[in-house]
Amino acid sequence: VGPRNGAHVVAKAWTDPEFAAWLKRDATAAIASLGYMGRQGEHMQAVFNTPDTHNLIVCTLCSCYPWTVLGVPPTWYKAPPYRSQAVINPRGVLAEFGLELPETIRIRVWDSTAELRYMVVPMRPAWHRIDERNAPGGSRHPGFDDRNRSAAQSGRSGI
Amino acid sequence: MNGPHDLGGQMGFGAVAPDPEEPKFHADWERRALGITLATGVMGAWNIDESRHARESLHPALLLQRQLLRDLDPGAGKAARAPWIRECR
Repeated sequence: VGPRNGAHVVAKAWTDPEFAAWLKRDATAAIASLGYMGRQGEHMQAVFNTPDTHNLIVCTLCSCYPWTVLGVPPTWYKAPPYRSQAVINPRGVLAEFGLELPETIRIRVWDSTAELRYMVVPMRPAWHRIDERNAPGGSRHPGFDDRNRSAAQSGRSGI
Repeated sequence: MNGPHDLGGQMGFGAVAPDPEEPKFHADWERRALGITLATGVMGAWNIDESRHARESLHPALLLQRQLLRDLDPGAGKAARAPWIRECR
């Protein structure tokens, strides 16, 4: 019910350029190749953070969320404050999560639909040394320190 | 179609106030409800359009009230007691 599958997808994208390109081109198929498919994840699009663009995901109409990769959505994602503000004040919303982006970074907001769900692939930190095979499933995550975890969770929350 | 569920750009709901310690489930019934939802989905007992239609067919007052009642539910855990709803109270 958590974002572990999504962490696997992100870790693989960070460590396998071919998979990253596939994920960018056809996220549904790339994610399904790892065995993650099913209700609420039938059609996926992966959006990649870059040095000049940050992605934010919301569902203004409902609480659409890709359960199959990111687990069940947190309450704030489903609640009116986030859903109403994400599209008119994304920078302020991110600041509420402790992320204050400079004005030079563009924020792109993706509004989910009943058909298409999104996940954010955060930038791979320069210091990260995660082994993709160790990312999912195990209780030990070598090289997966708190900073890594924050980055992976950014993928979950769309922040 | 627009309606009370269409929240994009609306104002007045207060702060987002994320809770980093939020549990995956706030009450036992949520586990069971998720299991039933997924199982009946696999069986083809409902589809996404039906569930959206059911929700969005609610009277606006009921839709907002339902959210209000859920967030005021003392059994629903601290994460569900959102600040925006306390302001409404």
